[in-house]
Amino acid sequence: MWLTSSSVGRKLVMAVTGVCLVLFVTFHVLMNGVAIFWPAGYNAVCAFLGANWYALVASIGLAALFIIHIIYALWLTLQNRKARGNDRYAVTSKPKQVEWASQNMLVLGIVVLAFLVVHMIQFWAKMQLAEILGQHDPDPANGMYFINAAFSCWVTPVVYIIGFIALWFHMTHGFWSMFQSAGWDNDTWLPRLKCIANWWTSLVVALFIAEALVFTVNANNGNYANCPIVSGAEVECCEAAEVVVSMEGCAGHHHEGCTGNHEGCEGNHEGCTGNHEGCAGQKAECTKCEESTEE
Amino acid sequence: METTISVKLKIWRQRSPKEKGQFVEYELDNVSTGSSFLEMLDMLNQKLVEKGEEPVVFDNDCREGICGMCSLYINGHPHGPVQGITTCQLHMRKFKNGDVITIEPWRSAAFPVIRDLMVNRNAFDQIQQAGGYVSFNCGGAPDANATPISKEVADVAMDSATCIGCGACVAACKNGSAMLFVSAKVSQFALLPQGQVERARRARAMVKKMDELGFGNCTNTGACAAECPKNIPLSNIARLNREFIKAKCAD
Repeated sequence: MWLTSSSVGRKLVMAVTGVCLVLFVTFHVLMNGVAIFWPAGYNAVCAFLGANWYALVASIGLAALFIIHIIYALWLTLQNRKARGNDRYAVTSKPKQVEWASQNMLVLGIVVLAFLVVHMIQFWAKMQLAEILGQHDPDPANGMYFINAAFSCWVTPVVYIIGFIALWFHMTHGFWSMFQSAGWDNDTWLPRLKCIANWWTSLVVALFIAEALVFTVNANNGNYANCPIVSGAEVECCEAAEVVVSMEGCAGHHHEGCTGNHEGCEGNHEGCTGNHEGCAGQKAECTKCEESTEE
Repeated sequence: METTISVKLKIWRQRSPKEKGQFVEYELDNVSTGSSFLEMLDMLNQKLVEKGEEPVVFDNDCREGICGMCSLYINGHPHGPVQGITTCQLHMRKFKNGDVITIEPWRSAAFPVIRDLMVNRNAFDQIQQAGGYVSFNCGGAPDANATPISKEVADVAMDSATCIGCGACVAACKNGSAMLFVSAKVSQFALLPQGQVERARRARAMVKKMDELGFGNCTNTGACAAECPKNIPLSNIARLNREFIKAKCAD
């Protein structure tokens, strides 16, 4: 199979998996942007990309892309080190046309991978994995809750920004390199591709860093903790009723077991057959509310 | 203005492929700035011979930058610090009085050291033999311009054909990849009508031979094109990728 046995084929595999990963990263940064402007919308996205069959198929595909990209990277590096021989140059210097990133792709990739592991533990393990394993407390689809939990710790933004900087270097080289490996021979377009690579990567990374900073500030100011969308599972029924104006699309997942209509929820829990026990349709008669006001 | 300088040379000495080599330092005075780098080495060897020592072995032939025989990794650059020239075209006026000049052989698993600064570049010949040629039936010389070729195409093909096969690309590459050499050889024929018959077979055979001989995988760092004494552009590598991918997809 020429994709494994030839050097050009192996590089083509790196290029094709690389294109997919660039598109994934771009999609990811746009998705995170939703969390800044519309937390409820972000949770809806999280619910959509939970343990549904289409999200699972996409996740398996994505994992395969990552694994192929990483295995090929290690394989290529080992072969290249062997090709370089045992004796190293005593004096080396880098011509100015050579990007630093291009000579350190493996190291940059390892930094990105280390970040990815932290990121998966903080989010994926508690969201999609938890949903697959059937854990429902805290609600795995409540993305904002996990953003709050992760970014209230100061280490998180530091680790993330290190990861993003490594990603910038990795992607600025990888972006134009994938066209070269795929065989786009053009002296006019090569500099243009390098320019597009720099812009694309810089925009993606700048957005990621901005998002990490916004999440950190909001998490540490308690903005998320006070928001019922974020505090999710812990929220009391009536508290939610007072703060949240629209629960549209929420399907009652803050009110576990509640199948009623919370639209415009102004204290009216009519039709609620869930865990609003004692609530006879009027907020005043809700025993939970009485308890909370007494406290 | 011609003056003389003194330089300190750190030269890799290795008696045979199997023996371990090491750097040996030499002081050389009265080097004319008008002399070429290889003339400076000739001066050193003259001195060594007179002292009854073994001269430094290095490859050289035409000394006008067209044969591809000279090599030398000088102060971290194949063919020395000046871009776009071979070692034999490098002049001592590019160095200052008292400079330390480190001279190493090409270092690549596919180019084993024969002795001192001389390496075995037979791997390139083997790649060429695998497909770097055009076959045709001999007969009377065809009329000039019987096969029209546009100026643009002829220029790119000619630029590719300027590759002298010196191996600086492999020496400069952190992966020991020969892609720039192979791509230049594939490009010069793939672009011209005369090379069409064997086009796919050539790309397949030359890449296969290159991989067999233990050259590394290209990671698009571009050090090869930056250090190439003939300024072969990196776009040749993209063309080789395309030629090879097309050939394999057609299989």
